[in-house]
Amino acid sequence: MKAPALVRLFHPTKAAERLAVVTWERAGDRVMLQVARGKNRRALLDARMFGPLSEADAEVAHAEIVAGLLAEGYVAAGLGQLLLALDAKTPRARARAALRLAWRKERAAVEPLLRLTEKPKEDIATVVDALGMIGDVRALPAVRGEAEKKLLSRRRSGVEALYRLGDVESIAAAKGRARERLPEAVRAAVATGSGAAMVAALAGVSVKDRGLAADTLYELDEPGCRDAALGALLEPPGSFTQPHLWRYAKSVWKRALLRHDVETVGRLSHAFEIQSRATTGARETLKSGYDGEPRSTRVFSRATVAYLRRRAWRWLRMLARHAPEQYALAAAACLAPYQDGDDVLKGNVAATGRSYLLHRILFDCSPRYTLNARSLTFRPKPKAPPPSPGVREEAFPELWDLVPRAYVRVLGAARHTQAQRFAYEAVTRRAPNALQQASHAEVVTLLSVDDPRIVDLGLTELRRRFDPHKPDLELVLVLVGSPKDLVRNYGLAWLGECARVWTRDRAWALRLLGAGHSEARDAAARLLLAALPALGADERRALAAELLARVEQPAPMQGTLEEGALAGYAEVLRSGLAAVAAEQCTLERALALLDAADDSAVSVGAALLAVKPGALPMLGTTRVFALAQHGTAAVRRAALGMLEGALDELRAAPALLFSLLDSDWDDVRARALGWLDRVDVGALGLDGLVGLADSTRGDVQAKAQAMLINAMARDGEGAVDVHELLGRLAQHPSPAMRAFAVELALIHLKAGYVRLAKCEALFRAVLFDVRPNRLAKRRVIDFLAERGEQDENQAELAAQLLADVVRTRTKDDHDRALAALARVTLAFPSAPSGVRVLGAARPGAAP
Amino acid sequence: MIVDARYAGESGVEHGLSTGKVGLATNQLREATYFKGELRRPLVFRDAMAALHHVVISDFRYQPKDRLAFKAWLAEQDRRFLLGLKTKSAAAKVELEQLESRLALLDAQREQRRKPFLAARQRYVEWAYAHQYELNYLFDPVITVHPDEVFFEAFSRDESSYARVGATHALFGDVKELRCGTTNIDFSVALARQLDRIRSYRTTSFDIAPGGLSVHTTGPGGGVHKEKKIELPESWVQGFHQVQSTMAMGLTSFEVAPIDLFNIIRVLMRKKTRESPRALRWELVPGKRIRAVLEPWELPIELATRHRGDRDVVVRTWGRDRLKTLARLLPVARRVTVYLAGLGMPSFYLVDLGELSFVLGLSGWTDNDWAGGAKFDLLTRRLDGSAPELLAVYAALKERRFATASALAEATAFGLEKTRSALSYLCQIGRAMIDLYGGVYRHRDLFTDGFTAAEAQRAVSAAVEEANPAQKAARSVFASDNVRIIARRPVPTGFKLSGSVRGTGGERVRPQLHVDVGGQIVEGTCTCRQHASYQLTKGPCEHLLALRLAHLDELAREDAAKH
Repeated sequence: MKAPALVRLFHPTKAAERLAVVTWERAGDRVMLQVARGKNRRALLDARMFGPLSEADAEVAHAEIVAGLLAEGYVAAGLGQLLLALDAKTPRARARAALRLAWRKERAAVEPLLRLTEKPKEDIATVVDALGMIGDVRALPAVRGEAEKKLLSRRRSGVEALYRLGDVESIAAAKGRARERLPEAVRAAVATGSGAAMVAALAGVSVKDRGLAADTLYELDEPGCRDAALGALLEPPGSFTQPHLWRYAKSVWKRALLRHDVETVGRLSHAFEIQSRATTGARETLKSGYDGEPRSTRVFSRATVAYLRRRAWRWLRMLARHAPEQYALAAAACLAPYQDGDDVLKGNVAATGRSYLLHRILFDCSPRYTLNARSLTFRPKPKAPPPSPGVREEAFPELWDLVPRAYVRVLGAARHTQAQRFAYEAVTRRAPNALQQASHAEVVTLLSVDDPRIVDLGLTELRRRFDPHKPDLELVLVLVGSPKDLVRNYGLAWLGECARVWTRDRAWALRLLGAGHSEARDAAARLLLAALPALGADERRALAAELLARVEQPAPMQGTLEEGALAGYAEVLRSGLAAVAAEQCTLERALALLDAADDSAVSVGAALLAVKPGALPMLGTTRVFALAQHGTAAVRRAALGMLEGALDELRAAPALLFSLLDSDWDDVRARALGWLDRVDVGALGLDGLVGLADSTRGDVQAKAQAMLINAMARDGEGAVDVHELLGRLAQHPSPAMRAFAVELALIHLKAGYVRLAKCEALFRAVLFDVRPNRLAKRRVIDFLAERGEQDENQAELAAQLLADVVRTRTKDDHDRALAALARVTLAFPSAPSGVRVLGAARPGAAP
Repeated sequence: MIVDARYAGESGVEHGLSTGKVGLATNQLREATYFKGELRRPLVFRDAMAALHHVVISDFRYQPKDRLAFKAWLAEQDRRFLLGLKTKSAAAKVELEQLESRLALLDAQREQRRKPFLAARQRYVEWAYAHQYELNYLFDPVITVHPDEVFFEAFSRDESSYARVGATHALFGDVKELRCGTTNIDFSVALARQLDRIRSYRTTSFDIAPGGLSVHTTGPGGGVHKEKKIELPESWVQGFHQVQSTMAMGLTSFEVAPIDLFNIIRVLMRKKTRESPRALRWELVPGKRIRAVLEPWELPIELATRHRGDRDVVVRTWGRDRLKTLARLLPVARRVTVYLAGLGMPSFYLVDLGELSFVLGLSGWTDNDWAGGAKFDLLTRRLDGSAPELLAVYAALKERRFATASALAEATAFGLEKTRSALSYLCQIGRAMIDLYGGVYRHRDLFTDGFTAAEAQRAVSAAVEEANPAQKAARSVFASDNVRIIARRPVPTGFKLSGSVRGTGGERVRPQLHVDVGGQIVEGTCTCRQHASYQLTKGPCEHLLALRLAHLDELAREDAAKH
């Protein structure tokens, strides 16, 4: 058994026996206890020995002796002085004593501290902080009062103390007051719980109010609030140096110290330090956060920043002394924000010499540097020897070894080469088990580092952890959800390797289908679909039921449903379990899914309807046709699937088919074109064929032309009235169909004015086409000339048309039209051509 | 401003084998408006609506090229260059080159694989954008049913073109139902495509009703097929009003044959230039054929029409590419009448289609949206009456739906000048419109809110307040008696005046004005610096406006003496 440490106690009032020392001395396998009293350690005159005792008895006796001394009024060494210091005249001395007592969690200090709260002075905030840190519920009444104060410093101390004391009601009341202080937009964003919404809301708040809002958000300590508050203070970089933000940045930093929120402390400390290199602040008149009085004050002064930097290190030292298990992780968090770019090579200051906290943490025990306490910079000592191998230069090395995980934190989070080197050496030489003790998320962070050695470490560890036969699915879930491609790719590979395991576990299958990244969801869906045949019928039914429930009532992620969040579930339902799910799902439920906000849910609804018997009659063809025009491809697919069973209806009302043929979507048109042959539009005669040709889509028009040609060739002219056809096609506005109609007209148009007149609109459209088909135009002009020579009525019509276009600027068309007009006029001079032919000419002779 | 529209049904065109139906759903948030008839000339109607749609979606604004991909490529080249600089060892360079060529190959293969996906995604984005744009930004055409015609009005996407399709009742046979009013119709991209399928060999009914083609009685909101909240920019609203202001001005007009317009459009399509000027210059010389000259090529297109005026007129108009929207109408147009307001001013093209008319109004430049640089309303007459009088004229017009100024003057007993002034102002605030084709004023409330006495009072106050600086200055000059009419003589088109005005800057200038019988400024010149720099392109100067005020005052006195 290890001997207890030497106990030194102090009596505040007995001068002659001020010091009492209890020691434990071994004598073979027995123990002697000695209690010595005296004025000081050199004058311990009254010494008594107890024993020999066995170890067990000695332990009991030791405790009794110490308790007895305490009962006489003795206190732990140093404690008395601290307690006395609480009555000091200066607030600084009182505050310092209060803090030190707080770190010790000395309950004997509670009453004196409470007395100090009865007549609050400048140190009241620190006193309340101390009460909170000690954690004694006797402090509650005083702390509650402070939490309601308007002054920032007092209110902050009161609220943070309430958090530490854990008084639920008071905390709720304080949070309520905090919410009321928030601007309305920010308050609404907090209610949603969405960090992004809070960030956006804060951006919309004026600078004057943003700081308070950020501090209040941090005070609320709810999901998303911290990040939003830090975002408001740290983005853009240096914005916290603005007058109305600086006070609140310090406030958040102080709160973080009290809460031991190491990440916030690290980020803010680093930001303050770096920004202080760029600016020494400015003078502004502001209301004091200390006493509420407006005064001219320097904002972001060098002195204040230096104080904060020193205090940050002091805080770390206190952690090391009083909460040693927390030191390493806190130091790791403080190292993380530093980057190589923060190093400054200037003067005789070390490269890292201006990075105070980093230097303290990594090189505090190094004999190579000396600190300039005024400027807080480290200079290399001249002629200092290089560090010997194995010699450790960091502060509190034993505390790092106490928590090896901290090395892994540094490896993954730190971006400064020195920090990475420090952690790498530790992990590879001194603490090889550190990686094994780290969590998945901590190991994954190693993969995002630039240093390939560190990445290798992380990969090696992850590979070690991964056993495809007994996979750590939590690890896989973390990896596949990572936004980093490299990490995610590993995760996806392992997802496939252990598919046989998780596809048989419904809970895990559902979790992986809802993974944080779309690629992961897709991969999980693909693998699960492949594994479905191996599942039993009951298992498939149960899976289908759960998937359907998730699609119908998705749990929102962070307040709003992320786009594609349901895609994994939907894919499995649509592609593998549609029939099974359709059995369990009523028609109403499937219909309700069609109106869902999420596209995946809509596609599931469509897929279920497609396989649900009786869906088509219940929905009605009209609605299904509307679904065939849906923006979601899966819905269209399902609707077209349903319409496969409605071909009879299409035959009876081809207008519906024609509307599909005019769809915006290629897939719908392709399917409808395929149905054309089965519906046999041609059987409807001219009306059907022309109805098809009336389409506005090029591919459908081409099909219609082919069908028309076939119909004319097959049935002969007698069956399809070419002139009727021409008359209808002539009205088509599409240039392609117009060209087709012109061809037909030129070949088939019989003699006579009436036939010609029916095509007048067609010829006009061709002649006035601003994007002309040159060949068609020429042929029309020639054709009109030809027909205009046949009889007077045709001549009149042809002359009118040609006269309307003869003044075209296109030379070729002008010449051609003029020549045609001349021919018509020569044949029938009375035709209103506007052309005067000079000289007689024989009919039929060239003009 | 936000404009709400709610449609209970869907606008569309149904095509049967031998029948068809055009159903236009009306905005439920507006007054009930109905019309039911049968189209006698469906093809002309089809082409007119196609041209209207073309105007609605047209956007001739300059679209800069998307250089993002090029910039990304440049950035990548920079990165590689810097990387190469850093690499010192030859072996490393060789390895780097090998890796980069392998990467390039992989990238090319990936692009090839992703092509179908990217194409499909692009198509979807275009579809979604078009539909979303339609839902949020495309203001549905305004349709008005009157006892003699049904007309549609719309503005282009770039706010530089105005279109009006007027269909007289002669276009329709068997008008079964009619209820006068103004509303919006749900004019979607899909509808435009469906309209193209209209044929004359199908009996096509035409139906304007809340249900449109099909009423939706199910679904969330019960009975609502589509709701739109269009964010209409103020410039759109002002532009629409400015159109009316310009149409009320004295305009130079002449006829153009369809082939002439065809020639202009063909040249524009075949020739492109980046050189300035790029105007369409109309040259009107008395007795000679009118010429349309295309700059900068100086390509003349001689029209068949001769100029009947007695003096030379040269007018340059810009944004001539917008004339391509009339291409669809050329085969069916009987004639085209061009109305010009002056240099850099709006112009109107009235296409006569028989029972239909199509009016295309173009602002001075494509970028010069109607409400932007030019204050055309300053060229029209100002309000000359009280709120009750304005309300009375409005009520009289609403009762009749359409009327000439003189008919309304007789009905209201206000006198012609006062009535014209009221009508002109009603046009400017969207309560009435001028039918160029019919030569009448028509009642048309552009938005849903009714015209109340309070609004009339606000309108009067606004007219009096005259936010425009030139107008304010003119009032001040007139009120301080610094305007003297030196000469004033009636001419067939109105009055010609010359005067002497001491402006607000203390300078004395000599404005000369030609106003029409309605008091609208036809043309004007002034010896002031503003006119020397801008002529009328930024609206008339304070001196011209002050002289006009003096003339209107004189007119009012003469009118009062007469009545």
